[in-house]
Formats: sequence, C-alpha cells, structure tokens
Amino acid sequence: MNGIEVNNITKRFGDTLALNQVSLKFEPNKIYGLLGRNGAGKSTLLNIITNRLFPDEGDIKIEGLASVENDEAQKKVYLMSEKNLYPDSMSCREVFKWSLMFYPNFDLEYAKELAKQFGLDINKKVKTLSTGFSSIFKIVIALSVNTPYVLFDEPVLGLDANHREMFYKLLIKKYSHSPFTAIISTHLIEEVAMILENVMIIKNGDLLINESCETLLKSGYSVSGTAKQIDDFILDKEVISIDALGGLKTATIIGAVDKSTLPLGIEMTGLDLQKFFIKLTNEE
Amino acid sequence: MKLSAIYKFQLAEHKKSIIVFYLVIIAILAVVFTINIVSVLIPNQSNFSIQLSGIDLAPTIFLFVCGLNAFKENFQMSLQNGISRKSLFVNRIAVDLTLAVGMSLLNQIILFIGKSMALFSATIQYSSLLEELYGLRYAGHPNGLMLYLEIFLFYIFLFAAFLSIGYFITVAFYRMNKKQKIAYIVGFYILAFVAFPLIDELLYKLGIFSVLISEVLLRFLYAIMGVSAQNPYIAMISLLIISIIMRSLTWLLVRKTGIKN
Amino acid sequence: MQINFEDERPIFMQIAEGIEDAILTGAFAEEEQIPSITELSVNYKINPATALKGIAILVDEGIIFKKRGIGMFVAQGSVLKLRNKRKELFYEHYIKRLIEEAKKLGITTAEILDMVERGYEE
Repeated sequence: MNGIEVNNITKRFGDTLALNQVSLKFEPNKIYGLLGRNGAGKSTLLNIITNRLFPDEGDIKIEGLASVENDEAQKKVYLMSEKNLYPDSMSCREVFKWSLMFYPNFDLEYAKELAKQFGLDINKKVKTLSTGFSSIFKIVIALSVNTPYVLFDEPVLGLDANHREMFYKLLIKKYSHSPFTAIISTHLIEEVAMILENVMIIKNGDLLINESCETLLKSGYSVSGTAKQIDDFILDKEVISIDALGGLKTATIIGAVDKSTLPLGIEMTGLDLQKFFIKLTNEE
Repeated sequence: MKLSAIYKFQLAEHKKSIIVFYLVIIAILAVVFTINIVSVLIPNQSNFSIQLSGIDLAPTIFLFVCGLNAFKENFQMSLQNGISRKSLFVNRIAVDLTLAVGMSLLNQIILFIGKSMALFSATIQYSSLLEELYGLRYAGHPNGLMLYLEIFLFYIFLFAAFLSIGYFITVAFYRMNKKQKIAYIVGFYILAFVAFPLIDELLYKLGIFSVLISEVLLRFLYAIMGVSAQNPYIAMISLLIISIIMRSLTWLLVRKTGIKN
Repeated sequence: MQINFEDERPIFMQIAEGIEDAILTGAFAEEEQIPSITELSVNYKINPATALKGIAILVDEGIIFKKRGIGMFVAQGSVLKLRNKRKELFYEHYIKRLIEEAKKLGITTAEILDMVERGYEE
C-alpha cells in the first residue's frame, strides 16, 4: 500500500478536541496543502503522523506500515516542525553531518549549496539563529533529506518575500527532478495555491475540505460591477462575501456559473481563495 | 554490527565532558605530586603527608550528572530523525554500558597512577573505595591482581546504577510540568532533611522504636553493599537490581512520552 | 506571459495559451526548443503536474512535440495551425457577440463593415 493513510484519528488535550475523527490519504508524489488557522490541529496531525504524539483513537499507515513506534515506517518521513528539535548548542554544520547519519540519502553537498544560496552561515549555532534563519535552516534540511514524504509545518515563518519565493521555487525544482510527497501546512493559502495539487482544510479539529486544487478553484467565482447589477445577480446565489467600494461591488459566490447568463457589464474572475478560506474557517 | 546513529549521537555528546573531567583529575594528581616533591625538598617538613582516598568515586558523581542531562536533547533528536522511543531507550542502555565499562577502565589507569605515586613517595597514601569498604578482604594486598579485577567489575555496576538513577530522575522531570517539579523537589527536601530526621528522633525518644530508623537503614545499606559480609559481589548484585528497577520505571515513563510544545 | 490566479481560466489553460501566444508572436520559433516543464513550473511557481497538463494540450494538438531525453520543440507549421485556430476562436468570441449586440441596436452589415474600416484606419 503506497502513501500515508490516516484513519479516524482523534486527539484530545485535556478538554480540547484537537482532532476529531480525521481520515485522509496522502498519495505518493503529490504536493498537498494542509490549511487551517492557528490552532486548527494541523501541527497535531503532523506530529501524530511522525510518532511525536500518540493519537487517542485511530491509526496511521505509512506505505502500509503502522506509524507508531516504528523506525522502519518513520525513516520514510521527515517533518520540518515549527519548533526546533535540534540541540541548541550544535552548529548547523554539525546538524547536517548528523542528518546524514540518520538519513543515508541526505545530500550534504546540496544542503551546503542551499545554505549558501539562502545566505545561511552554517558555522552558526542553532540557538543563535533568528526566526527567519531558523526556518531557512530547517528548510535546507527538509529539501536535502530525500525521504519519500516531507512534511513542512509553517515553512515560511519569518521569511522575507525574497526567501519565500526562493523556497517555493526550490521546492518545485526539487519536486520535478525527483518527485516526492510534500505536505505543506500553512495559513497563507494564496501564496501556495498554485503549487498545490490537493488541498485539505482543517477547522477546530475537523476536516472540512479534501479536494484537488483545481476542483476547489472551480467551486466558485467572483463577480464585480455596479451595486445594482451585483445585487440583482446574486439574489438566487450562495454568496460568501461582498465588498463595496463606492457604487461598485464585488461578490464571491459558491457554485458553477453559466457564462452566457452573465449580464453585460458584470466582470467575472476566478474564486478568491483567501476569502473563501477565511469564510470557511471563520468562527460563527 | 553497524552501530545505530542514535547510539553514536548519544555517545558523542559525552566525549567532551569526559575529556574535561579526566583533565581535572589528572591535574589534581599532578598538583598533589608536585606539592609532595616540593615538600620533600624542603627540610623540616618530614611530617607532611597527603591522603588521597576515594578519587575513584568522583566518576560516579560525574556519571550521575551525565545521566541527569541525557534525556531531553536526545529524545528530541530521536523524534526529529524518526527514531522510536524504544530504539532510543535500548540504545541509551547500550551507551550507558559503554560509558560504565569505559570509565571503569580509565578508573583503573588513574588508580594505577595514584598507587604508583604512593609507592614512589611514602608521604602519599592512596587507596581506592573498595579498600575502604572491604578493608579486611584486601588487607595486605594493596596491589593484588584480585583487587584490580574486582575494582573494575565493581565500578561497572556502580557507574551503571548511578547512570540509571540520574536518567530516571531526568525522564521523570521531563514528564512533569513546572508546578509538579517544584512540588517534588521541595517535597523531597522536606521529607529527607526535616520530616524524616524529626520523626526518627521523636519515635526513638518516645520509646516507640528501640532503634533509630536511620540506624536500621544504614545497616541495611551495609548489608546490600556486602560491607558486613566483606563481599563486593553482593554489592554488584544489589547495584544490578537497582539498575534494572530504575530502567523499568524509566521505560514506563518514556513509552508514552510525547513532544512538548 | 502572465499567470494570473484570479483569472477565471484554469492555470493549465493559461499556460497553454501563454505558450501559444509566444509561438504566434515568434518568441518561440518553429523547430525551436521551448522551456522544460521544470523551468516553466519553477518560473511561474506552479505545480509541475499543472504545467504538464497545459503542455499536454499543445502536444495533443500537434503544436509541440517531444524529443525523448532532449526536450520539447515547436512543431513545423504550428504558427499556421494556431492562426487558424485563433481565427475560429475570434469568430466565436468576438464576431458572434458583435453581431448579437449589433442586432439589438439595429446596426446593418454595411454599417458594421464601415465601422471596421474606420477601426483599422485609426
């Protein structure tokens, strides 16, 4: 059995239900987006997949192997977590060296090359890295580790626009040269949407959406025009947001559209994912 | 057999501190030796004598501290690199055995140097812990092969036991939150240094017990350490039992430990 | 070429049309190599599967052909092919709507032709 199968995972922290019967499947060699607001349960799920936390209920299979306390299964997966788990007093160079010991396919030369591209001084100790460079340091390892499954938890935290762009491009490059399964957990949907093949949205521990990105984009659209035109047009439609600017209005609508019924003067654009996401994950 | 990465990683962590530790020990011996030579050269100092005993006990404390520092980083490193708690636990035991045997060997060398110094100069007296504890057994054979062999074995068990105790404490602390930690530390001090001596004294003075509990405990300690029987092998068995108990308790704690945020 | 997320057209369509435009304007000449899937996806920060889907449309239409182990090339005669295709689309997209609107406003064929001539002159 290929891929990672998550079956009915439930996890509680005291009274809070962090994950509620979540089931999903990550297929080999695809790029997934795991989206949700802070505290939605994204990190918890990734931590359970990688045996860092135990689920209360349910089980996970990594290429058919049970994920819990199983070195054989876990060596196929690498999680770049928000929290740094490398020893503070170690230099980046030493961490690279040890990564090679733990993951025989770790590409040391590539890691050094990436560090240079990002301007990361690998002689620096892990604890002295700023938030941004700490993310870069972990990104470099994640891109060099060469496991079939690489999980990124908020990878662009603290990165400037330039470094973010570099990360996305390097990820795509790596992926197209030697495909692997990438799972990117983030709350910045707009930035990653074009990279993703599938999107999973988690809210308060529940899996809301699990779709291909293309289907998701087709699930709605935005229209703009004069206030009167838009008001008439949206009467019988499911509207998730309306923005008014003077006499102009823009509405985001869920559902398919028949372009021939579109009145003249109304302009149609694709679904505004960020708005869609905010609407979906908003507290009622 | 190919050594696992987590074994190497955990062992590597101790390399630097062990070197520093032995540099300090060697420095102490060197100072003692120098003072001794100087004092011999100066007349009217013939009464001067230095007694060195139990230097071989220092590594025990050192390894206890090593045990105390051996969990958090290794645990996090394991989880980051897909190593299970089980593998970490098994490899920790392997590392601790390596440390116990290795340090016991180094201990022999230090002991040999110390004893040689004592032979060389009459003003230095150097004896090992075993000679203190089991004086009768080794009386008259301060350099016997038997003594060296038994010291070697004894320390392996002693070191292993103290490593397990230190490790257990740090694992237990990792599982606790801040409040629990403080409660345990304060509680332990109050119990051991205030409540216990007080109750012990009270029960004895009131005539409820005819002996002090502390006295009984001490006798018990002598018995399990084979001091009463003058047999170090009894101590080794007791230390082994302590190690096994500590390791078992540690496993119960480690088994279900998750990552902390 | 521009990939726009807000565009109502799917991204793979935008990729395909972008390459078509580049061929029509001569940016990619016939028989010449075009960027690889990796280059396209890295450059536009899109999933390689999406780029592949866009390219596949062009391969199916015979606009682009693949040379195993070397890369992708613009096929001979693809400019002509594309022009014809676009002309057809031009009729579908513009002329049909133009005439629909003209009928509403009561504009005759002659009037339209006049207007077209005026447009070309300006």
